[in-house]
Amino acid sequence: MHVYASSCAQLRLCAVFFFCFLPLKGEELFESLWARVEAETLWEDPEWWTLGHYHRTMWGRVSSRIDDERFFLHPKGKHNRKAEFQATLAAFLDPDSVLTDRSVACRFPARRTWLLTKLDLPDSTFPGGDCPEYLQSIAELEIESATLIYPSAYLNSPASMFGHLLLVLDRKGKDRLLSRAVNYAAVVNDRFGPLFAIKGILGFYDGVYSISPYYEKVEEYASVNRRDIWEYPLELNDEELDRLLRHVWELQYLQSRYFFFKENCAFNLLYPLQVARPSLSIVERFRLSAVPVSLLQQVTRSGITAEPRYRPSKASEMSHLAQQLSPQEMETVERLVYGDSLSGDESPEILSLVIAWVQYLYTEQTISDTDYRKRILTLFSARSKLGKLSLSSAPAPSPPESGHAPRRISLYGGIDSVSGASLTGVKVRAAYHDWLDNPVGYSSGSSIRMFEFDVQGRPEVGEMYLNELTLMDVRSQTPPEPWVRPLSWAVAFGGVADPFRPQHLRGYGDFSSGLTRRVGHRGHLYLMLTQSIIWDTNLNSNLSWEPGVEWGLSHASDKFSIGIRGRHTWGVLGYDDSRHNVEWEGRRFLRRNTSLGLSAIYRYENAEDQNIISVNFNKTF
Amino acid sequence: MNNKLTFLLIAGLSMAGTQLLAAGTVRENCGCGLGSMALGNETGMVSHVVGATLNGLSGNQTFAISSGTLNCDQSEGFVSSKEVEVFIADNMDHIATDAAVGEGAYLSALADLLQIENADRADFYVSMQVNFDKIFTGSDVHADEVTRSIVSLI
Repeated sequence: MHVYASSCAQLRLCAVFFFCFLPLKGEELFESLWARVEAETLWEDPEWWTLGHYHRTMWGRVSSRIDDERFFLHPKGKHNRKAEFQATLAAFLDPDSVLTDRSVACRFPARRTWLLTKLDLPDSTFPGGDCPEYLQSIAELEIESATLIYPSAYLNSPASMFGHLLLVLDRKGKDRLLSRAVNYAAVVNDRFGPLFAIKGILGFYDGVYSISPYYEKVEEYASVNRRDIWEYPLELNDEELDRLLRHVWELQYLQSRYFFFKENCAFNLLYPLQVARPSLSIVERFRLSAVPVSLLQQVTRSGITAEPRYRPSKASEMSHLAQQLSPQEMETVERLVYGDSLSGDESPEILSLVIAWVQYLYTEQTISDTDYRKRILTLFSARSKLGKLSLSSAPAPSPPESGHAPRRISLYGGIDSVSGASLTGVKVRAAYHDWLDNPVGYSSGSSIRMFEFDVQGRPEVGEMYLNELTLMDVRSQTPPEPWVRPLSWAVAFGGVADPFRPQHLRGYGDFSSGLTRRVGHRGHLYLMLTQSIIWDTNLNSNLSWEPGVEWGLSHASDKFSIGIRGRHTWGVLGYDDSRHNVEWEGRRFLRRNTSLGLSAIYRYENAEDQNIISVNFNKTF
Repeated sequence: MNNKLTFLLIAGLSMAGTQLLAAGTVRENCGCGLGSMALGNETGMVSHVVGATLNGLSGNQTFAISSGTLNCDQSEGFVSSKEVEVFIADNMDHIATDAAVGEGAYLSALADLLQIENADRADFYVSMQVNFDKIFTGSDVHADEVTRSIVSLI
């Protein structure tokens, strides 16, 4: 992921209105049009709300999600959609009354066409005509369609499962690499991870729309970050495309506060889509959070997109090539990558993989500029003498929108076989994908759970308690490839009930790192060193440090998943005994979003043990 | 617990810690020759958690054609449009990769920019591959020279 410092010029231009300067004819026209607007209460039109990014807040107030005052023609426009409507109409009728360096037509080309259409007026009603810069840019670029782009998760970064969305404007007769990419991103100046995280979640960063050549984005995602890219052409007619472009134009210089979970890259791209096709009414479906992948699922289901095109990342192409080579050929490849000179009888397949591998080492900064340039040119030259490659390109996996939804609710019931007590509970998770969830559409080896509550009850004793509160549990368990041996790691924070005195809650932070191996085609085996820091008021010093090991073996297909994992820690500071936790679970996927599971958990601590067998029903939404 | 195990566990903790706190590194590089590909930067785990959708800003805010990422001198009065030069300079490594293989998305985009007829494309791709050594003459070849050689092929 790239983070660039930005020194965006903060042009704060305030719109000033002089209604009294409206020429008499304009004033009369304004009065008659405004009477119509009032009669139809057009400022409540959902399309006006979309154009102004208005929404009803949790407190029932209506305001715009855009924070930049340049987006409003009325000083109170952010919170007053009626005043903004009035100011917009007045400004179009008398463009000279607005004192900014860009004309009103060029600041709000989408509002302009919308007003003309809505009030059924001829174009000449608004003096000065359409925005010439807009018309010229569109003509110059010859934009003929738009495409939604979804870069999928990258290896060893579970968080990237959340995905990203950008919009691409395709040009007539030009390969998509030459399209313009519209990206909504945060302007980030911090390098310190935790600060970055907190500020991102709380909305301390400004988000801006940026426009760049799509090939830059492809390089960033597919070559450097090794993320596969999915491209969803939007099926828009000419008017819809025009509205989309006009609204993108309105947004291109603006800033808004960026909120990681909601007002993020993906959410802000919904507006141009909904302006293009108002019947989509998709923006208000995301009230609490807008995870890009669930947004993609909604957009693809709405019928606005055509069949996606898969653009494999460099890493996927390398894996595909490597799978076709024999172990001896792979040895040759590795020798050539690490310095052997070419013998002259290498196959095109071998050379292609060596080239990709050397380029990989360069982007990873393992080899220097000069070394890279010299070696890559020799390899290119040798490869160019061998004609075309006979192998196919990397096959497309199941597309991301075919995956399960990220939120989940689970109901479970079971029995503690040691004490004989029955228990039942509800688990609710805000996001995203756990180790045994349906793997279709997700990258294997990564899991991330955020904000999961588990409320458990014991009917016989009439007890109810918070059994678990997972704030965050992120695991990256990526098996190695010949060119990369990633470290597996896991970080988890939260609170968990004492298994033997469940009304008592304790806090934990777990950190693990280790290795993962692939078992068969769809299985993983991992072993990690771990340590827990536990905050427990029943301990003498309230705090303990407990290192140990963690292991697991799992297998997941599109029909079922099964896994066993264990966690064993020994108290070193603040706690004298050990804790052992082994759990087994199997799940059958009934449909994409529902599964039925059976689990057995064994727990031991402080010379007490527990054995819970339970069935669960899970529904993602 | 013996000392060796303790050591291993602390090493494990520090690894996770490094993951958690590692800061990003970016290498500056010019976009005029081979090796102008964007480079990866190591970011910490927490950055990953938020960063995946927070997405740092890159790219200039303009609707217009020129990318403006070019750091090198442009030759004056050159026949092809500026966009061809910018595309070649920005994508030298990818164009060279495709040229060596004789096919690929970057060659096809290049053919679009050079307005090569569909019927002549197969020949253009073969010619890029066959003439690879004449186009990419050395490891320090400049985008300008590459552009000139490619245009002379058509």
